[in-house]
Amino acid sequence: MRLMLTCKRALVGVCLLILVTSMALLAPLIAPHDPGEQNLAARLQPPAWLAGGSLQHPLGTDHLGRDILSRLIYGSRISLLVALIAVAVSGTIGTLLGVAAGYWQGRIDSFIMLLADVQLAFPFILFALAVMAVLGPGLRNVIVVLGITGWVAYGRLLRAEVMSLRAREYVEAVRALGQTDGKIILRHILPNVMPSLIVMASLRVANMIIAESSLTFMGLGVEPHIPTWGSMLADGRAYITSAWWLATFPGLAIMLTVLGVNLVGDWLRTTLDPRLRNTV
Amino acid sequence: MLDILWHRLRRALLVILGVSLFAFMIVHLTGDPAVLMLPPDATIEQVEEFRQAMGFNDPLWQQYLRWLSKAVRGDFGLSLRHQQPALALIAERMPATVELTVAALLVALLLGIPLGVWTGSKGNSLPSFLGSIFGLLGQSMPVFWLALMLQLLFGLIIPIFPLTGRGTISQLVMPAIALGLYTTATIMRLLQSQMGEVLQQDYIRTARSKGLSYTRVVFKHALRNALLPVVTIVGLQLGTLLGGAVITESIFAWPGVGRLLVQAINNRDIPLVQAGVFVLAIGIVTINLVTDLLYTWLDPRIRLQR
Repeated sequence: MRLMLTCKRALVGVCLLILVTSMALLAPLIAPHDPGEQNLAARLQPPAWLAGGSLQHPLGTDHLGRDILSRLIYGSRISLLVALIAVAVSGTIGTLLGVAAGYWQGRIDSFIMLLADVQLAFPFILFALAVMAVLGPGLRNVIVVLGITGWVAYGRLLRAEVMSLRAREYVEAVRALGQTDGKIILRHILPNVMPSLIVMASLRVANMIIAESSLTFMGLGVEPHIPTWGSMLADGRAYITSAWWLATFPGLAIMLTVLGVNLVGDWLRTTLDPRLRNTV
Repeated sequence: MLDILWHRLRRALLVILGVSLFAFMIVHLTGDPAVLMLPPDATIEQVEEFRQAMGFNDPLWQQYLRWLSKAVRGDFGLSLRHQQPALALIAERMPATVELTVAALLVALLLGIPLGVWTGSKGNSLPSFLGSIFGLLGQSMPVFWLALMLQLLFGLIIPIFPLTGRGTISQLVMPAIALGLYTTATIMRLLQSQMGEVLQQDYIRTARSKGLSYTRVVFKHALRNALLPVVTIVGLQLGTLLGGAVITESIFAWPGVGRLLVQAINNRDIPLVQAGVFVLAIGIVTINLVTDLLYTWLDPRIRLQR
Protein backbone atom coordinates (compact mmCIF):
# COMPACT_ATOMS: atom_id res chain seq x y z
CA MET A 1 0.00 0.00 0.00
CA ARG A 2 2.77 2.37 1.04
CA LEU A 3 4.86 1.54 -2.02
CA MET A 4 1.85 1.98 -4.29
CA LEU A 5 1.15 5.38 -2.75
CA THR A 6 4.79 6.36 -3.21
CA CYS A 7 4.62 5.21 -6.85
CA LYS A 8 1.55 7.36 -7.50
CA ARG A 9 3.32 10.32 -5.98
CA ALA A 10 6.41 9.56 -8.01
CA LEU A 11 4.28 9.54 -11.15
CA VAL A 12 3.02 13.03 -10.31
CA GLY A 13 6.61 14.09 -9.70
CA VAL A 14 7.82 12.60 -12.98
CA CYS A 15 5.00 14.35 -14.88
CA LEU A 16 5.92 17.69 -13.28
CA LEU A 17 9.58 17.20 -14.12
CA ILE A 18 8.83 16.16 -17.71
CA LEU A 19 6.75 19.32 -18.06
CA VAL A 20 9.50 21.60 -16.72
CA THR A 21 12.27 19.86 -18.66
CA SER A 22 10.26 20.04 -21.88
CA MET A 23 9.66 23.73 -21.24
CA ALA A 24 13.38 24.26 -20.79
CA LEU A 25 14.42 22.25 -23.84
CA LEU A 26 11.74 23.52 -26.20
CA ALA A 27 11.66 27.13 -24.96
CA PRO A 28 12.39 28.78 -28.34
CA LEU A 29 9.70 26.67 -30.00
CA ILE A 30 6.89 26.95 -27.47
CA ALA A 31 7.34 30.44 -25.98
CA PRO A 32 4.76 32.73 -27.59
CA HIS A 33 7.05 35.79 -27.38
CA ASP A 34 10.69 36.74 -27.00
CA PRO A 35 11.21 36.84 -23.19
CA GLY A 36 13.03 40.18 -23.40
CA GLU A 37 10.61 41.85 -25.83
CA GLN A 38 9.18 44.98 -24.20
CA ASN A 39 5.84 46.54 -25.02
CA LEU A 40 5.11 49.45 -22.73
CA ALA A 41 1.66 49.91 -24.28
CA ALA A 42 0.69 46.49 -22.90
CA ARG A 43 2.38 46.78 -19.49
CA LEU A 44 0.83 45.12 -16.42
CA GLN A 45 -1.81 43.36 -18.47
CA PRO A 46 -3.67 40.77 -16.32
CA PRO A 47 -3.95 37.06 -17.23
CA ALA A 48 -6.30 36.14 -20.07
CA TRP A 49 -9.19 35.01 -17.84
CA LEU A 50 -9.43 38.37 -16.07
CA ALA A 51 -11.04 41.56 -17.37
CA GLY A 52 -8.49 43.44 -19.46
CA GLY A 53 -6.48 40.31 -20.26
CA SER A 54 -5.88 38.89 -23.71
CA LEU A 55 -5.01 35.49 -25.16
CA GLN A 56 -1.91 37.06 -26.66
CA HIS A 57 -0.45 37.09 -23.14
CA PRO A 58 -2.16 34.15 -21.37
CA LEU A 59 -0.48 34.83 -18.00
CA GLY A 60 -0.36 38.61 -18.43
CA THR A 61 2.56 40.98 -18.79
CA ASP A 62 5.04 42.58 -16.39
CA HIS A 63 5.89 46.22 -15.69
CA LEU A 64 7.81 46.47 -18.98
CA GLY A 65 5.12 44.75 -20.99
CA ARG A 66 7.09 41.51 -21.31
CA ASP A 67 5.10 38.29 -21.68
CA ILE A 68 5.05 36.40 -18.35
CA LEU A 69 4.44 32.96 -19.87
CA SER A 70 7.44 33.32 -22.19
CA ARG A 71 9.64 34.48 -19.33
CA LEU A 72 8.44 31.56 -17.20
CA ILE A 73 9.30 29.13 -19.98
CA TYR A 74 12.77 30.61 -20.49
CA GLY A 75 13.26 30.94 -16.73
CA SER A 76 12.99 27.17 -16.36
CA ARG A 77 16.24 26.85 -18.35
CA ILE A 78 18.27 28.83 -15.82
CA SER A 79 16.70 27.15 -12.80
CA LEU A 80 17.39 23.66 -14.11
CA LEU A 81 20.81 24.53 -15.54
CA VAL A 82 22.07 26.12 -12.32
CA ALA A 83 20.59 23.39 -10.13
CA LEU A 84 22.01 20.52 -12.19
CA ILE A 85 25.50 21.98 -12.55
CA ALA A 86 25.60 23.01 -8.88
CA VAL A 87 24.52 19.50 -7.87
CA ALA A 88 27.21 17.99 -10.11
CA VAL A 89 29.90 20.28 -8.65
CA SER A 90 28.87 19.88 -5.03
CA GLY A 91 28.31 16.14 -5.52
CA THR A 92 31.82 15.72 -6.92
CA ILE A 93 33.45 17.73 -4.12
CA GLY A 94 31.33 15.99 -1.47
CA THR A 95 32.09 12.55 -2.89
CA LEU A 96 35.84 13.16 -2.98
CA LEU A 97 35.93 14.56 0.56
CA GLY A 98 33.43 12.08 2.00
CA VAL A 99 35.20 9.07 0.52
CA ALA A 100 38.60 10.38 1.66
CA ALA A 101 37.30 10.97 5.21
CA GLY A 102 35.59 7.60 5.43
CA TYR A 103 38.35 5.56 3.82
CA TRP A 104 41.48 7.03 5.36
CA GLN A 105 39.87 8.28 8.60
CA GLY A 106 42.28 9.66 11.23
CA ARG A 107 43.45 13.22 10.74
CA ILE A 108 42.07 13.53 7.22
CA ASP A 109 38.64 12.62 8.55
CA SER A 110 38.91 15.03 11.51
CA PHE A 111 39.95 17.88 9.24
CA ILE A 112 37.23 17.28 6.64
CA MET A 113 34.53 16.94 9.27
CA LEU A 114 35.76 20.12 10.96
CA LEU A 115 35.44 21.84 7.60
CA ALA A 116 31.89 20.51 7.33
CA ASP A 117 31.02 21.70 10.85
CA VAL A 118 32.42 25.15 10.12
CA GLN A 119 30.34 25.42 6.98
CA LEU A 120 27.21 24.21 8.75
CA ALA A 121 27.70 26.98 11.31
CA PHE A 122 26.83 29.57 8.67
CA PRO A 123 23.24 30.07 7.66
CA PHE A 124 23.46 28.95 4.03
CA ILE A 125 21.81 31.96 2.48
CA LEU A 126 23.95 34.36 4.48
CA PHE A 127 27.10 32.50 3.49
CA ALA A 128 26.07 32.58 -0.16
CA LEU A 129 25.00 36.24 -0.03
CA ALA A 130 28.28 37.29 1.59
CA VAL A 131 30.35 35.44 -1.00
CA MET A 132 28.19 36.70 -3.88
CA ALA A 133 28.51 40.25 -2.59
CA VAL A 134 32.29 39.96 -2.84
CA LEU A 135 32.47 37.98 -6.11
CA GLY A 136 29.64 39.95 -7.71
CA PRO A 137 26.40 38.72 -9.27
CA GLY A 138 26.45 36.46 -12.32
CA LEU A 139 25.46 33.03 -13.54
CA ARG A 140 28.96 31.57 -13.16
CA ASN A 141 29.38 32.91 -9.63
CA VAL A 142 25.99 31.53 -8.57
CA ILE A 143 27.03 28.08 -9.78
CA VAL A 144 30.41 28.39 -8.04
CA VAL A 145 28.87 29.47 -4.73
CA LEU A 146 26.12 26.84 -4.76
CA GLY A 147 28.56 24.16 -5.90
CA ILE A 148 31.07 24.92 -3.18
CA THR A 149 28.58 25.37 -0.36
CA GLY A 150 26.52 22.27 -1.14
CA TRP A 151 29.13 19.54 -0.59
CA VAL A 152 28.54 18.95 3.14
CA ALA A 153 25.42 16.82 2.77
CA TYR A 154 27.20 14.42 0.38
CA GLY A 155 30.40 14.46 2.41
CA ARG A 156 28.72 13.42 5.63
CA LEU A 157 26.57 10.76 4.01
CA LEU A 158 29.40 9.17 2.03
CA ARG A 159 31.81 9.28 4.95
CA ALA A 160 29.43 7.15 7.01
CA GLU A 161 28.76 4.77 4.11
CA VAL A 162 32.43 4.34 3.24
CA MET A 163 33.38 3.78 6.89
CA SER A 164 30.92 0.94 7.05
CA LEU A 165 31.97 -0.54 3.67
CA ARG A 166 35.66 -0.30 4.49
CA ALA A 167 35.19 -2.64 7.43
CA ARG A 168 33.46 -5.32 5.29
CA GLU A 169 35.22 -8.60 4.69
CA TYR A 170 35.26 -8.33 0.91
CA VAL A 171 37.15 -5.02 1.10
CA GLU A 172 39.65 -6.57 3.50
CA ALA A 173 39.99 -9.51 1.12
CA VAL A 174 40.81 -7.37 -1.92
CA ARG A 175 43.24 -5.38 0.18
CA ALA A 176 44.93 -8.61 1.26
CA LEU A 177 45.22 -9.51 -2.43
CA GLY A 178 47.34 -6.39 -2.88
CA GLN A 179 44.87 -4.01 -4.52
CA THR A 180 45.81 -0.34 -4.21
CA ASP A 181 43.58 2.10 -2.29
CA GLY A 182 42.65 3.86 -5.51
CA LYS A 183 41.45 0.66 -7.17
CA ILE A 184 39.58 -0.47 -4.05
CA ILE A 185 37.75 2.86 -3.91
CA LEU A 186 36.97 2.95 -7.62
CA ARG A 187 36.01 -0.70 -8.11
CA HIS A 188 34.61 -1.82 -4.79
CA ILE A 189 33.48 1.17 -2.77
CA LEU A 190 32.13 3.76 -5.20
CA PRO A 191 29.74 1.37 -6.97
CA ASN A 192 28.25 0.48 -3.58
CA VAL A 193 27.66 4.07 -2.49
CA MET A 194 26.11 5.05 -5.83
CA PRO A 195 22.46 4.46 -4.79
CA SER A 196 22.83 6.77 -1.77
CA LEU A 197 24.63 9.31 -3.91
CA ILE A 198 21.87 9.31 -6.53
CA VAL A 199 19.18 9.72 -3.87
CA MET A 200 21.03 12.59 -2.22
CA ALA A 201 21.72 14.30 -5.54
CA SER A 202 18.08 14.09 -6.58
CA LEU A 203 16.91 15.65 -3.33
CA ARG A 204 19.57 18.35 -3.49
CA VAL A 205 18.34 19.54 -6.90
CA ALA A 206 15.30 20.94 -5.08
CA ASN A 207 17.48 22.82 -2.59
CA MET A 208 19.56 24.28 -5.39
CA ILE A 209 16.52 25.53 -7.32
CA ILE A 210 15.30 27.35 -4.21
CA ALA A 211 18.79 28.63 -3.40
CA GLU A 212 19.33 30.06 -6.89
CA SER A 213 15.96 31.78 -6.91
CA SER A 214 16.57 33.12 -3.37
CA LEU A 215 19.90 34.64 -4.39
CA THR A 216 18.45 36.15 -7.55
CA PHE A 217 15.44 37.42 -5.60
CA MET A 218 17.82 39.20 -3.23
CA GLY A 219 19.54 40.82 -6.22
CA LEU A 220 22.77 38.84 -5.91
CA GLY A 221 22.15 35.99 -8.28
CA VAL A 222 21.95 35.74 -12.05
CA GLU A 223 22.33 38.96 -14.09
CA PRO A 224 19.08 40.99 -14.27
CA HIS A 225 18.71 40.77 -18.07
CA ILE A 226 18.48 36.96 -17.99
CA PRO A 227 14.90 35.81 -17.34
CA THR A 228 14.79 33.68 -14.19
CA TRP A 229 12.02 32.78 -11.78
CA GLY A 230 13.84 34.52 -8.93
CA SER A 231 14.26 37.79 -10.82
CA MET A 232 10.62 37.68 -11.96
CA LEU A 233 9.58 37.35 -8.32
CA ALA A 234 11.85 40.22 -7.33
CA ASP A 235 10.31 42.40 -10.07
CA GLY A 236 6.82 41.34 -9.02
CA ARG A 237 7.39 42.25 -5.39
CA ALA A 238 7.14 45.97 -6.17
CA TYR A 239 3.79 45.43 -7.91
CA ILE A 240 2.23 43.05 -5.40
CA THR A 241 -0.52 45.58 -4.59
CA SER A 242 -1.52 46.26 -8.19
CA ALA A 243 -0.46 43.24 -10.27
CA TRP A 244 -0.48 40.04 -8.18
CA TRP A 245 0.24 37.80 -11.18
CA LEU A 246 3.81 39.07 -11.49
CA ALA A 247 4.90 37.40 -8.27
CA THR A 248 2.38 34.56 -8.17
CA PHE A 249 3.21 32.58 -11.33
CA PRO A 250 7.01 32.38 -10.95
CA GLY A 251 6.55 31.28 -7.32
CA LEU A 252 4.10 28.59 -8.43
CA ALA A 253 6.60 27.45 -11.05
CA ILE A 254 9.34 27.14 -8.42
CA MET A 255 7.04 25.34 -6.01
CA LEU A 256 5.78 22.82 -8.56
CA THR A 257 9.29 22.09 -9.85
CA VAL A 258 10.63 21.61 -6.33
CA LEU A 259 7.60 19.47 -5.51
CA GLY A 260 8.28 17.31 -8.57
CA VAL A 261 11.92 16.88 -7.59
CA ASN A 262 11.00 16.06 -3.99
CA LEU A 263 8.40 13.48 -5.04
CA VAL A 264 10.83 11.73 -7.36
CA GLY A 265 13.59 12.01 -4.75
CA ASP A 266 11.35 10.43 -2.11
CA TRP A 267 10.51 7.60 -4.45
CA LEU A 268 14.17 7.02 -5.28
CA ARG A 269 14.95 7.03 -1.57
CA THR A 270 12.33 4.40 -0.87
CA THR A 271 13.34 2.31 -3.85
CA LEU A 272 17.13 2.54 -3.80
CA ASP A 273 18.06 2.99 -0.18
CA PRO A 274 15.82 1.44 2.47
CA ARG A 275 18.09 2.79 5.23
CA LEU A 276 17.11 6.34 4.30
CA ARG A 277 13.39 5.70 4.32
CA ASN A 278 12.69 7.43 7.58
CA THR A 279 14.87 10.47 7.23
CA VAL A 280 13.46 13.79 6.12
CA MET B 1 28.73 12.89 30.73
CA LEU B 2 31.55 15.29 31.64
CA ASP B 3 33.75 13.59 29.05
CA ILE B 4 31.12 14.12 26.38
CA LEU B 5 30.68 17.74 27.47
CA TRP B 6 34.42 18.38 27.26
CA HIS B 7 34.72 16.65 23.88
CA ARG B 8 31.82 18.64 22.39
CA LEU B 9 33.05 21.91 23.88
CA ARG B 10 36.51 21.42 22.42
CA ARG B 11 34.98 20.67 19.04
CA ALA B 12 32.76 23.77 19.23
CA LEU B 13 35.79 25.95 19.99
CA LEU B 14 37.61 24.54 16.95
CA VAL B 15 34.56 25.24 14.79
CA ILE B 16 34.39 28.82 16.09
CA LEU B 17 38.05 29.23 15.18
CA GLY B 18 37.26 27.98 11.66
CA VAL B 19 34.28 30.33 11.49
CA SER B 20 36.53 33.25 12.48
CA LEU B 21 38.94 32.34 9.68
CA PHE B 22 36.13 32.40 7.13
CA ALA B 23 34.66 35.65 8.47
CA PHE B 24 38.13 37.18 8.19
CA MET B 25 38.72 35.77 4.70
CA ILE B 26 35.45 37.19 3.26
CA VAL B 27 37.22 40.46 2.68
CA HIS B 28 40.22 38.84 0.98
CA LEU B 29 38.25 36.72 -1.50
CA THR B 30 38.78 39.14 -4.36
CA GLY B 31 42.40 39.85 -3.57
CA ASP B 32 42.39 43.52 -2.61
CA PRO B 33 40.16 44.38 0.36
CA ALA B 34 40.89 48.12 0.04
CA VAL B 35 39.34 48.23 -3.44
CA LEU B 36 36.35 46.23 -2.17
CA MET B 37 35.69 48.51 0.80
CA LEU B 38 36.23 51.89 -0.86
CA PRO B 39 33.84 53.53 -3.32
CA PRO B 40 34.60 52.81 -7.02
CA ASP B 41 35.67 56.43 -7.61
CA ALA B 42 38.45 56.33 -4.97
CA THR B 43 41.85 57.47 -6.30
CA ILE B 44 44.93 55.23 -6.30
CA GLU B 45 46.41 57.40 -3.51
CA GLN B 46 43.28 57.02 -1.39
CA VAL B 47 43.32 53.24 -1.90
CA GLU B 48 47.00 53.04 -0.90
CA GLU B 49 46.45 55.26 2.14
CA PHE B 50 43.47 53.13 3.23
CA ARG B 51 45.45 49.95 2.67
CA GLN B 52 48.25 51.29 4.86
CA ALA B 53 45.86 52.50 7.58
CA MET B 54 44.03 49.16 7.74
CA GLY B 55 47.24 47.12 7.71
CA PHE B 56 46.32 45.30 4.47
CA ASN B 57 49.98 45.31 3.38
CA ASP B 58 50.99 43.03 6.28
CA PRO B 59 51.24 39.25 5.81
CA LEU B 60 47.81 37.56 5.88
CA TRP B 61 48.46 35.57 9.06
CA GLN B 62 49.43 38.75 10.93
CA GLN B 63 46.26 40.45 9.74
CA TYR B 64 44.21 37.42 10.86
CA LEU B 65 45.75 37.30 14.34
CA ARG B 66 45.22 41.03 14.75
CA TRP B 67 41.60 40.73 13.58
CA LEU B 68 40.96 37.71 15.83
CA SER B 69 42.47 39.32 18.92
CA LYS B 70 40.17 42.30 18.40
CA ALA B 71 37.15 40.13 17.53
CA VAL B 72 37.37 38.13 20.78
CA ARG B 73 37.19 41.46 22.59
CA GLY B 74 34.11 42.36 20.56
CA ASP B 75 35.90 44.87 18.36
CA PHE B 76 35.03 44.33 14.70
CA GLY B 77 35.79 47.90 13.76
CA LEU B 78 33.43 50.65 12.69
CA SER B 79 30.63 50.06 10.23
CA LEU B 80 31.66 51.88 7.05
CA ARG B 81 28.15 53.21 6.50
CA HIS B 82 26.85 53.84 10.03
CA GLN B 83 30.22 54.91 11.49
CA GLN B 84 29.35 53.06 14.70
CA PRO B 85 30.94 49.94 16.21
CA ALA B 86 29.77 46.99 14.10
CA LEU B 87 29.07 44.73 17.09
CA ALA B 88 26.92 47.38 18.77
CA LEU B 89 24.77 47.60 15.64
CA ILE B 90 24.37 43.82 15.58
CA ALA B 91 23.53 43.73 19.31
CA GLU B 92 20.93 46.45 18.84
CA ARG B 93 19.12 44.41 16.15
CA MET B 94 19.54 40.99 17.76
CA PRO B 95 16.37 41.07 19.95
CA ALA B 96 14.19 41.51 16.85
CA THR B 97 15.81 38.51 15.12
CA VAL B 98 15.54 36.35 18.25
CA GLU B 99 11.88 37.35 18.61
CA LEU B 100 11.12 36.37 15.01
CA THR B 101 13.09 33.13 15.16
CA VAL B 102 11.50 32.04 18.44
CA ALA B 103 8.03 32.91 17.12
CA ALA B 104 8.70 30.90 13.93
CA LEU B 105 9.94 27.97 16.00
CA LEU B 106 6.81 28.13 18.15
CA VAL B 107 4.66 28.08 15.02
CA ALA B 108 6.62 25.04 13.82
CA LEU B 109 6.37 23.16 17.11
CA LEU B 110 2.74 24.02 17.84
CA LEU B 111 1.63 22.99 14.35
CA GLY B 112 4.23 20.39 13.41
CA ILE B 113 4.05 18.15 16.49
CA PRO B 114 0.24 17.75 16.71
CA LEU B 115 -0.03 17.31 12.93
CA GLY B 116 2.82 14.79 12.90
CA VAL B 117 1.32 12.77 15.77
CA TRP B 118 -2.15 12.87 14.30
CA THR B 119 -1.23 11.90 10.76
CA GLY B 120 1.45 9.44 11.90
CA SER B 121 -0.90 7.49 14.12
CA LYS B 122 -3.58 7.12 11.47
CA GLY B 123 -1.79 4.62 9.21
CA ASN B 124 -2.73 4.69 5.53
CA SER B 125 -5.73 6.97 5.87
CA LEU B 126 -6.98 10.28 4.50
CA PRO B 127 -5.46 12.38 7.35
CA SER B 128 -2.13 10.68 6.73
CA PHE B 129 -2.37 11.39 2.99
CA LEU B 130 -3.37 15.03 3.55
CA GLY B 131 -0.56 15.40 6.06
CA SER B 132 1.92 14.11 3.51
CA ILE B 133 0.64 16.60 0.92
CA PHE B 134 0.95 19.45 3.45
CA GLY B 135 4.46 18.31 4.34
CA LEU B 136 5.58 18.11 0.73
CA LEU B 137 4.06 21.46 -0.22
CA GLY B 138 5.50 23.11 2.90
CA GLN B 139 8.96 21.89 1.99
CA SER B 140 8.61 22.92 -1.65
CA MET B 141 7.57 26.53 -1.09
CA PRO B 142 10.36 29.12 -1.13
CA VAL B 143 10.22 31.30 1.99
CA PHE B 144 10.24 34.53 0.01
CA TRP B 145 7.33 33.49 -2.16
CA LEU B 146 5.27 32.34 0.79
CA ALA B 147 6.00 35.69 2.45
CA LEU B 148 4.80 37.59 -0.61
CA MET B 149 1.67 35.45 -0.90
CA LEU B 150 0.84 35.98 2.78
CA GLN B 151 1.23 39.72 2.26
CA LEU B 152 -1.03 39.53 -0.77
CA LEU B 153 -3.71 37.40 0.92
CA PHE B 154 -3.77 38.64 4.50
CA GLY B 155 -2.34 42.11 4.05
CA LEU B 156 -4.14 43.24 0.91
CA ILE B 157 -7.06 41.02 -0.17
CA ILE B 158 -8.27 40.27 3.38
CA PRO B 159 -6.41 42.99 5.29
CA ILE B 160 -6.21 41.48 8.78
CA PHE B 161 -2.45 41.79 9.35
CA PRO B 162 -0.12 44.75 8.76
CA LEU B 163 2.13 44.31 5.71
CA THR B 164 5.39 45.29 7.38
CA GLY B 165 7.04 46.53 10.57
CA ARG B 166 7.57 45.38 14.13
CA GLY B 167 6.03 46.28 17.45
CA THR B 168 2.70 44.51 17.77
CA ILE B 169 1.72 40.84 17.89
CA SER B 170 -0.27 41.22 14.66
CA GLN B 171 2.91 42.39 12.91
CA LEU B 172 4.67 39.22 14.05
CA VAL B 173 2.07 36.76 12.72
CA MET B 174 2.87 36.76 8.99
CA PRO B 175 6.69 36.81 9.27
CA ALA B 176 6.55 34.01 11.85
CA ILE B 177 4.33 31.83 9.65
CA ALA B 178 6.39 32.55 6.53
CA LEU B 179 9.60 31.68 8.31
CA GLY B 180 8.21 28.74 10.29
CA LEU B 181 6.26 26.83 7.64
CA TYR B 182 9.23 24.95 6.20
CA THR B 183 10.25 23.81 9.69
CA THR B 184 6.62 22.92 10.46
CA ALA B 185 6.56 20.66 7.42
CA THR B 186 9.93 19.14 8.30
CA ILE B 187 8.91 18.36 11.90
CA MET B 188 5.56 17.04 10.74
CA ARG B 189 7.06 14.70 8.14
CA LEU B 190 9.70 13.41 10.53
CA LEU B 191 7.22 12.80 13.33
CA GLN B 192 4.75 11.21 10.93
CA SER B 193 7.30 8.64 9.80
CA GLN B 194 8.67 8.15 13.33
CA MET B 195 5.21 7.56 14.78
CA GLY B 196 4.40 5.12 12.00
CA GLU B 197 7.54 3.17 12.85
CA VAL B 198 7.34 3.35 16.65
CA LEU B 199 3.70 2.21 16.64
CA GLN B 200 4.82 -1.04 14.95
CA GLN B 201 7.21 -1.90 17.82
CA ASP B 202 6.64 -4.87 20.13
CA TYR B 203 6.43 -2.78 23.30
CA ILE B 204 3.53 -0.82 21.83
CA ARG B 205 1.72 -4.07 21.11
CA THR B 206 2.46 -5.17 24.68
CA ALA B 207 1.09 -1.91 26.07
CA ARG B 208 -2.06 -2.32 23.99
CA SER B 209 -2.48 -5.96 25.06
CA LYS B 210 -2.22 -4.84 28.68
CA GLY B 211 -5.43 -2.96 28.02
CA LEU B 212 -4.10 0.59 27.79
CA SER B 213 -6.17 2.92 25.64
CA TYR B 214 -4.89 3.81 22.16
CA THR B 215 -4.61 7.51 23.09
CA ARG B 216 -2.54 6.67 26.16
CA VAL B 217 -0.27 4.38 24.14
CA VAL B 218 0.23 7.06 21.49
CA PHE B 219 0.99 9.90 23.89
CA LYS B 220 2.65 8.09 26.78
CA HIS B 221 4.65 5.40 24.97
CA ALA B 222 5.03 6.17 21.28
CA LEU B 223 5.40 9.96 21.32
CA ARG B 224 8.23 9.98 23.86
CA ASN B 225 10.37 7.82 21.61
CA ALA B 226 9.28 9.39 18.35
CA LEU B 227 10.15 12.86 19.69
CA LEU B 228 13.85 12.10 20.18
CA PRO B 229 14.93 12.73 16.56
CA VAL B 230 12.75 15.86 16.58
CA VAL B 231 15.12 17.35 19.18
CA THR B 232 18.01 17.06 16.71
CA ILE B 233 15.93 18.41 13.85
CA VAL B 234 14.78 21.39 15.93
CA GLY B 235 18.40 22.22 16.74
CA LEU B 236 19.41 22.00 13.09
CA GLN B 237 16.33 23.92 12.01
CA LEU B 238 17.21 26.83 14.27
CA GLY B 239 20.16 27.44 11.98
CA THR B 240 17.86 27.26 8.97
CA LEU B 241 15.46 29.66 10.66
CA LEU B 242 18.23 32.16 11.39
CA GLY B 243 19.25 31.92 7.73
CA GLY B 244 15.66 32.24 6.54
CA ALA B 245 15.29 35.30 8.76
CA VAL B 246 17.70 37.10 6.44
CA ILE B 247 15.11 36.98 3.64
CA THR B 248 11.96 37.19 5.77
CA GLU B 249 13.20 40.29 7.59
CA SER B 250 13.94 41.99 4.29
CA ILE B 251 10.45 41.30 2.91
CA PHE B 252 8.54 42.32 6.05
CA ALA B 253 10.86 45.28 6.84
CA TRP B 254 11.56 43.56 10.17
CA PRO B 255 14.37 45.49 11.87
CA GLY B 256 16.59 42.52 12.70
CA VAL B 257 20.15 41.38 12.08
CA GLY B 258 19.21 39.67 8.80
CA ARG B 259 17.89 42.85 7.22
CA LEU B 260 20.85 44.82 8.54
CA LEU B 261 23.22 42.29 7.00
CA VAL B 262 21.50 42.33 3.62
CA GLN B 263 21.83 46.12 3.64
CA ALA B 264 25.47 45.79 4.71
CA ILE B 265 26.12 43.30 1.90
CA ASN B 266 24.54 45.63 -0.65
CA ASN B 267 26.59 48.56 0.70
CA ARG B 268 29.77 46.44 0.88
CA ASP B 269 30.01 47.37 4.55
CA ILE B 270 32.53 44.58 5.22
CA PRO B 271 33.20 45.12 8.97
CA LEU B 272 29.45 44.88 9.60
CA VAL B 273 29.14 41.77 7.41
CA GLN B 274 32.06 40.14 9.23
CA ALA B 275 30.60 40.94 12.66
CA GLY B 276 27.13 39.70 11.67
CA VAL B 277 28.34 36.48 10.05
CA PHE B 278 30.59 35.74 13.03
CA VAL B 279 27.94 36.43 15.67
CA LEU B 280 25.23 34.42 13.87
CA ALA B 281 27.63 31.53 13.31
CA ILE B 282 28.60 31.49 16.99
CA GLY B 283 24.90 31.46 17.82
CA ILE B 284 24.37 28.43 15.57
CA VAL B 285 27.42 26.60 16.98
CA THR B 286 26.07 27.19 20.50
CA ILE B 287 22.60 25.97 19.54
CA ASN B 288 24.09 22.85 17.93
CA LEU B 289 26.19 22.19 21.04
CA VAL B 290 23.18 22.50 23.35
CA THR B 291 21.09 20.28 21.05
CA ASP B 292 23.82 17.68 20.95
CA LEU B 293 24.12 17.61 24.74
CA LEU B 294 20.37 17.60 25.18
CA TYR B 295 20.06 14.64 22.85
CA THR B 296 22.79 12.79 24.72
CA TRP B 297 21.06 13.49 28.00
CA LEU B 298 17.60 12.55 26.73
CA ASP B 299 18.61 9.27 25.13
CA PRO B 300 19.53 6.77 27.85
CA ARG B 301 21.16 4.49 25.23
CA ILE B 302 23.80 7.14 24.63
CA ARG B 303 23.91 8.48 28.19
CA LEU B 304 24.51 5.10 29.81
CA GLN B 305 26.93 3.91 27.15
CA ARG B 306 29.70 6.20 28.36
